[in-house]
Amino acid sequence: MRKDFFSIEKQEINGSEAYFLLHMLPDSPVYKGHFPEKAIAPGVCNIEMIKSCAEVVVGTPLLLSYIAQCRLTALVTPEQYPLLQLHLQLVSIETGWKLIAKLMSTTDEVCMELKAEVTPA
Amino acid sequence: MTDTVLFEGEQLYQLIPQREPIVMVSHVYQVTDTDIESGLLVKQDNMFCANGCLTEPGLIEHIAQSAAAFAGYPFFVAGKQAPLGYIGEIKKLRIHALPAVGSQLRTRIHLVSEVMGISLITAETTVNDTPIVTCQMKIFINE
Repeated sequence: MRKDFFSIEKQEINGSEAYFLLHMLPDSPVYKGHFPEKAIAPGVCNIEMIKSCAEVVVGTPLLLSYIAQCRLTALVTPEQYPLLQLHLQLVSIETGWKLIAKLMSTTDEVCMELKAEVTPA
Repeated sequence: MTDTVLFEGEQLYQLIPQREPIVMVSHVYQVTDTDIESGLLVKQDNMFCANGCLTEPGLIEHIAQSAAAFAGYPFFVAGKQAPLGYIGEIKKLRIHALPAVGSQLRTRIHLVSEVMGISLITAETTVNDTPIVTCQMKIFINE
């Protein structure tokens, strides 16, 4: 888990569904390069953050083996979006889990929707 | 596939707006109207390396930045700064393996269509001709 990028403020796990409140850390070194003029959370770091939360839910390290679809619908800046909500659904399949995630602002604006498959790493 | 290097290291800054620590392209070998061939030498200090391998976000970012380099090339030719670009959508992305530190990734990006600043591309990344990642991506370019 990338500890300098976000922290988990709150988590509620209910069987195959989970809710996280995430704090985006503005001092992450990644913002030095993405981008020098304007800090924008890299989409791939948000994907990694979702995977990290899925690892908390299933209790084992995961490999993101397949992304069926990932839609990035808002640019996430740590200033504008210090807190993000994450809704996660994990369904057991033969190879691991099917993961459905929605990353939203605290006013329910959707930033990212992810449909993927993860396998135990 | 050609082994002629057009851009490497910090020369890539002429094509992409990303800077360290998140620069995930180290080579550009060829650019045509519809394709780019790029590469990344996976180094130990890469921010996305863990347990001796380049992890999923590093692989995806490598493809996104290869597409950004393709989009940035005409700006370079025109003597302009590389534009900011963002991933809009990722589809059918399959990760076959995580490459080890020391691997040389080789990526071919093919432009399928480009409409109003939105490029639809397909990508294939290999290491020594072994498939590592395949996907489709939509990239928004902020001109």
